[in-house]
Amino acid sequence: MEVAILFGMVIGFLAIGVPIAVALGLSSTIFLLVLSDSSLASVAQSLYQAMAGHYTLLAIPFFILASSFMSTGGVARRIIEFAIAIIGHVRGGLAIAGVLACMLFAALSGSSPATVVAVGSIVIAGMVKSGYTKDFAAGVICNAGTLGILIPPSIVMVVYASATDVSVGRMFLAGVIPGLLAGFMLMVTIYVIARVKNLPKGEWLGFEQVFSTILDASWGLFLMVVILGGIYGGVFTPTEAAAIASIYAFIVSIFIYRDMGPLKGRGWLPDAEADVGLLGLRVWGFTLVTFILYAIGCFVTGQPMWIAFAAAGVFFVVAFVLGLLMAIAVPGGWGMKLAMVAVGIFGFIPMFYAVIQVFSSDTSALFAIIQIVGAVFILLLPPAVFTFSLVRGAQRLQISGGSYRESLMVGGKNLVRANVENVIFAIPSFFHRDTKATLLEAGKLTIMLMFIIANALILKHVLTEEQIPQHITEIMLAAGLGPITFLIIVNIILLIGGQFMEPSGLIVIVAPLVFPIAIQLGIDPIHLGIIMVVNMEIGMITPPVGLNLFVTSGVANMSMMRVVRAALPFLAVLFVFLIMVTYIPWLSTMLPTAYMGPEIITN
Amino acid sequence: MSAGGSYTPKNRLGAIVHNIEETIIAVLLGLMTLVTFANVVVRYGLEGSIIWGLEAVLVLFAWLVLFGIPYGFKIVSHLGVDAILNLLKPGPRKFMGILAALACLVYALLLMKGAWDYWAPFANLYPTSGQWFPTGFEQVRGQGWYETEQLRFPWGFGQTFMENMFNEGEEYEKLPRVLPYAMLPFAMALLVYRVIQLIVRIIRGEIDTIIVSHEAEDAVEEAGKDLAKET
Repeated sequence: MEVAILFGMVIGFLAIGVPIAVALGLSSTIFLLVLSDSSLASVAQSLYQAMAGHYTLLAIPFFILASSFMSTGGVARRIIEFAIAIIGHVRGGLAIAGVLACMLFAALSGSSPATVVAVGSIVIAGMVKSGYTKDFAAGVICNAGTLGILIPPSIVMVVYASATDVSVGRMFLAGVIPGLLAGFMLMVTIYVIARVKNLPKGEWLGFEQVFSTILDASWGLFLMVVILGGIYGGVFTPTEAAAIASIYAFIVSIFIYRDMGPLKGRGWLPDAEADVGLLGLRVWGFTLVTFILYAIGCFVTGQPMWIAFAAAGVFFVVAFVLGLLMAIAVPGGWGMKLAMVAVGIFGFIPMFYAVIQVFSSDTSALFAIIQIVGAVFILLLPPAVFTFSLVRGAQRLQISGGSYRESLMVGGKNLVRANVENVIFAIPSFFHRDTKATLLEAGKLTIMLMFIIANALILKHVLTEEQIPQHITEIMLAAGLGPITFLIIVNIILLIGGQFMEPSGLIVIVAPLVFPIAIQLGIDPIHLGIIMVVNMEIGMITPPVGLNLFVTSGVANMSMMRVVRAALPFLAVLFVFLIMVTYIPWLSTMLPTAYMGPEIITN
Repeated sequence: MSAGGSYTPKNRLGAIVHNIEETIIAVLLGLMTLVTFANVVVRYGLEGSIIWGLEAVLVLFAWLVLFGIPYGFKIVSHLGVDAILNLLKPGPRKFMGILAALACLVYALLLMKGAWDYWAPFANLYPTSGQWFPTGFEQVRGQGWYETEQLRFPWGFGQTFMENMFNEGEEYEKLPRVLPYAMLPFAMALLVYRVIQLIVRIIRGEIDTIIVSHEAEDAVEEAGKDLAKET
C-alpha cells in the first residue's frame, strides 16, 4: 500500500512537470520522513555517496566525454561515407548504410537521441535526395538510433551493472550478439522492402574507396578497440578504459581529424598538394603509426624501445617498396592485381596460418569462431586497408601527374609540418575554447544523468529499507509465477516506464525490484539485464511518448503521427527481436559465459 | 552531444558568474579524466600508483554533479516529462510550472537542512534539531578530526590553518573530511537560490517550464532547420 502511495507521488510530480530527479528524490524523502525516523542528513549523505561511493558509475562521465569529442559532425560524416561505400550499392543500400552508420556511431556514443541527431541529420537528407520517401528515411533512422544503448559501450549497461553488482565487462559482452542481430534484422527488413518497392540503389565505388573510407573512419572506430580491448585484455577496469577513451577521443578530434580546437581547418595536406602528396603521406604516416603502436606496446609490456624502431624500420621498407610498385602499377593498369597479390601475401597467408592453427587446436566451436573473426580483423583487415589506401594514393598521384619521389617529398614535408603543429599546439589545445565547450557539454550531460541516478538511488534505498523487493518476491512466487509470465510482466512494466523515464533512472528503480525474483526463478542476471535494455530501446520508439519519436520528428520536420506511422514496420521487427532476446537466453549469455566463465550471481 | 538548455545572462555580473560556473564544471571533469589517465600511465609505465588518485577522482565526481545541479536548474536542462504540459494552454501551463518549481523548492530546502546537518559535525559546528524543520541547534561533539582515507594536503598548503581551525592545533595526516563534504551545503544553498530565481522567472513569463524532455533539444532544433533548408 505504502509503495503505491510512493509511486503515485512520483507519477503525480512527473505529471505536473517536476524534473524526474526531483520527483524521485522528493517522494522518497517525504516517504522516509513520514514513515521512518531517518534523518535528512542521511538523505544528503546518500546524494553525496551516489557519486563518491560508486566506482562503477564513475565510468559514465568518461564515456560521455569520449562520445562528446566523437559526436562532432566530422566523425558522423566519415562513418556514413564508410557505410555507404560498403553497402550503398545494393537495393535500398542508402537505408541499410544508415542502419550500419547508426550501429557504428552507437558504439562510440552511449546515447540514442545523440545518434539520431548526428546520423539522421545527414542520412535523412541524403536519402530524400536519392529518391527515398522522407517517411521511410525517418522510420529507419528512428529505429536504428535506439541501438545505441544495446551496442557496447553503453551507459545504461553501466548503470544496470552498478545497480545489481554484476560485472560491467560481462554486460558489454552480452550486448554484442543481440546488438549485431538487431542491426542485421533491420537491414534484412529494409532489403526486403527495397526489393518489393524497387527502391533506388547506389553504385559500387570500388575496393580502394571502401578501404580509403575505412582508413578515415578507423581513427574514430578504434575507440571501440581501446575500450573493449582494454577491458577484456585485463589491462584496465571499465572506468579506466572510459577515461583512456576520452583522452584518445580528445587526441583524435583535435590533432588528427582536426574538427575542433586550434588546428581546425588546417588539414594534413593543403588542398593544392592533396593529390600529389597523398601516396607519400600514407607511406610515411603508416610507418609513424606502426612506430607509435609498437612504442606503446613496449612501454606497457616493459620491452626495450629499440624493438619499436626496428619494427618501424622494417615496415617503412615494405611500405616504400609497395608504394613504388603502386606508383608504377596504377598508371600501367595492373594496380588492382598488384593490390590483390599484396593483400594475399600480407593478409591472407598469415590469416590462413592462424585459421589452420585454430582448427588444429582443440578449442570449442564458439571459441574457434571468435578466434577466426579475430584473425580476420587483426590479420587481414589492416593489410587490406594499408594496401588499398596506397592504391587510392597512387590513383590521386596519377591524376596530379607527379612522380613517386615528389609524392614522398611532399607527403613527408606535410607529415612533419602537421606534427610540428601538433607539438606546438599540444598545450594550448587543452585550454582552447572548443575543448572547454566539449568538457562543458559532457559535464552538463553527466550532471543531468547523475542527478537522476543519485535520486533513483535514494528511492532504491527507501525500497530496500522497507523490504519491498522481498515482499514483492514473496507475493509473486506465492502466486505461482513462472519465468515466462515473469518476463512478460517485466516487459510490460519497462515498455510503459521506458516511455516516460530516462532509461538509466528507470533501471536503478526497476532492477532491485525484479532482480531478486529473477534470481529466485533461475534467470541469469546478465540475460535479465539485456532484456531490460532491449525493452528500454523499444520504449523509446513506442507511441504515444517514445523519446526517439520526438527527436526524429524534430530532426526530420515531420509531425509525430507521421513518424509513428513511418516507424511502425520496423518497430514490429524490434518486437520480434525482443521476443527472441527474452526467450532465447543464450543470445545474451553465450559470449560472456564462453569468455569469462559461467555467471556466479545465481540462485 | 548536446545537453539542452540555453541561458543568456542578463547583465555583466551574471555573465561573469555564468562563465565561472561553466569553467568550474569543465575543469572538474577535465581533472577527473587527467588523474584517472595519469594513474593508468603510472601503473604501467612506472610500476607505481597514485595512491590518492581514485579517492580524489570520486570526490571531484561528487563535486561536479553537486555543483552542477543548481547550474542545471539555471539553464533549464533537467529532464522531465512534458507530454501533459504540452496539451495545456499557456495559462494553466504557467500555473503548473509554478507548482512544479514550488515542489523543487521544498526539495531544495529539505536537502539544504540535510546537507547542513551532515556536514556541520565535520566542521565542529552544530547540526540543527528537528526531523524536517530546523527547530534549533543540537549540541553534539565535533568530528573535525575525521580524515579522508588517502587525500593529502597538496604541498601542505593550508594545513596549519585547517589544523588550528578544525583540529585544535593537532596535526592532520590526511585531508580532513570537512573539505570534500563542504560542497554539499554550498551546492544545496545555491540550489535554493536558483529555484527561487526560477519561480521569479516563471512568474515574469520569461520561461514557461522548468524541464526539457530530452537531452538534445537544441541540437534537434538546429538539425531540423538544416534539413528543411536542404530538402
